[in-house]
Amino acid sequence: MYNKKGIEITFSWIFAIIAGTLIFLFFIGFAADNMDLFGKLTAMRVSEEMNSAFTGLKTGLVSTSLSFNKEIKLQFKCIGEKKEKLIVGYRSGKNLYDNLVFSPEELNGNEFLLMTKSWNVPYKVDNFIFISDNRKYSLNGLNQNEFDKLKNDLPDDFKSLIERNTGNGKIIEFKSDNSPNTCNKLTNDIVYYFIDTNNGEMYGKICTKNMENKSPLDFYGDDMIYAAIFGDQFDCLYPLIGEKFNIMRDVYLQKIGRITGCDKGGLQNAITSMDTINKIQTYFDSIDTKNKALIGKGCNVF
Amino acid sequence: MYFKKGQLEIGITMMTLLVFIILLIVSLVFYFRLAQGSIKETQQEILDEKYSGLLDALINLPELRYSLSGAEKNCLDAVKLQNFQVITKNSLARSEYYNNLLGDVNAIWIDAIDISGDKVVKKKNEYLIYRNQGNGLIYSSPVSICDGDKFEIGILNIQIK
Repeated sequence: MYNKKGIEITFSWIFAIIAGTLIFLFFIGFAADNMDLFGKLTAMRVSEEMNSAFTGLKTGLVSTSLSFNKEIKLQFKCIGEKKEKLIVGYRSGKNLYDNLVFSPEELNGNEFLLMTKSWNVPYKVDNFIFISDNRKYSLNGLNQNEFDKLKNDLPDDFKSLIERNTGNGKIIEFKSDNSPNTCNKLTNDIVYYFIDTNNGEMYGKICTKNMENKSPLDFYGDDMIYAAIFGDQFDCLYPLIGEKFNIMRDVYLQKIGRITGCDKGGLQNAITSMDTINKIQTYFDSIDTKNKALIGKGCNVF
Repeated sequence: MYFKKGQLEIGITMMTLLVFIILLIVSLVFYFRLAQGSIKETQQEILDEKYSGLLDALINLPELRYSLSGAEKNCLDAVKLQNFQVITKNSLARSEYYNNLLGDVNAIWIDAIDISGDKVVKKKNEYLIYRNQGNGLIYSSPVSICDGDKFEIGILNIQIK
């Protein structure tokens, strides 16, 4: 036997629940979109604006801090070769195609340190951008003078982050020796270095923890060492550094080709010969001297 | 003919449901039209920011910037500007690099401004830096151009797909 009144009550309840749920979801959606409840819009804006800020840091040398109103998680992840992606929170990602940003892979906090360094070979190739929180970096194996030289080139905020032989935080080992032909399995990054007697710059090869059985990477200059110290992306951004190096070499060879009225043969030959990063040490001073001589004759190359 | 009480109440409930659905549809249409307007506005803001950033990026590229004795000057290098197209098309990898960097940019060029006495003459396409096919919105920024001892003023333009 049917209880019609019972069916009617159940129907009213189902209707009330469905209608209530729809109204509730509508308001939740409205609030989420307009109040940015899940931080999606903020994350998108932060990643877009940080990328613009990095682009603006391509010229000039800067030391500053990035402050946010609330605790934020930044990730600088390598996506394949030559590509780095900035992820803000867990939501928004932005490819940093042309910006060489070196930082720990993951940063948490509401204030981060930022500095830029220009990599010159001797003409400028690009600005490297460094970001860190307050974590420490222990440089093991350098003598006091070498450590002081690396430290003194840093802005004050970054100076306090690096220590010598303490073993705190990220450890980078320095060995004044030839590197092996292939990198071994490592627990810490290793810098195999020599000092350029002409200008005191460090050069050599670097093996990072991610480079087991791969050839060590050539470096020239303190700026590239900072990239290995402060960045977890050194090995994956290295091809992009190489690409930028080749681009600027071509730029100046093209420019020399258009200069008339000065004997630019020596500079042209030196830049042509400096076709890989490991040859910078051989040609650095020669290129610098020849460029200055050309400037003296009214023919500026760089 | 008359309705039973139960049928009448079901009818009332159905009417209420109908009115509710109509109100819901009307409010959703109204809300999404408002939201669409707001999305378009935000999209335009983001695009403006993006392309202003790209103009800044171009002005700051070491590939285009003038330097003297290793120190960068606050102007673009006329010779580098003339060579840029050759540099970007040097290899497939190089083209890919600049396509990634420049994204949906159709063309980049500089109109030089020639000021002689009281006359201001705009020399169009004085430096054609980058060229793909197509038309689109143009973003511009004033720049200075150095060519040895000579100094020029220009307008850097980028055209977006």
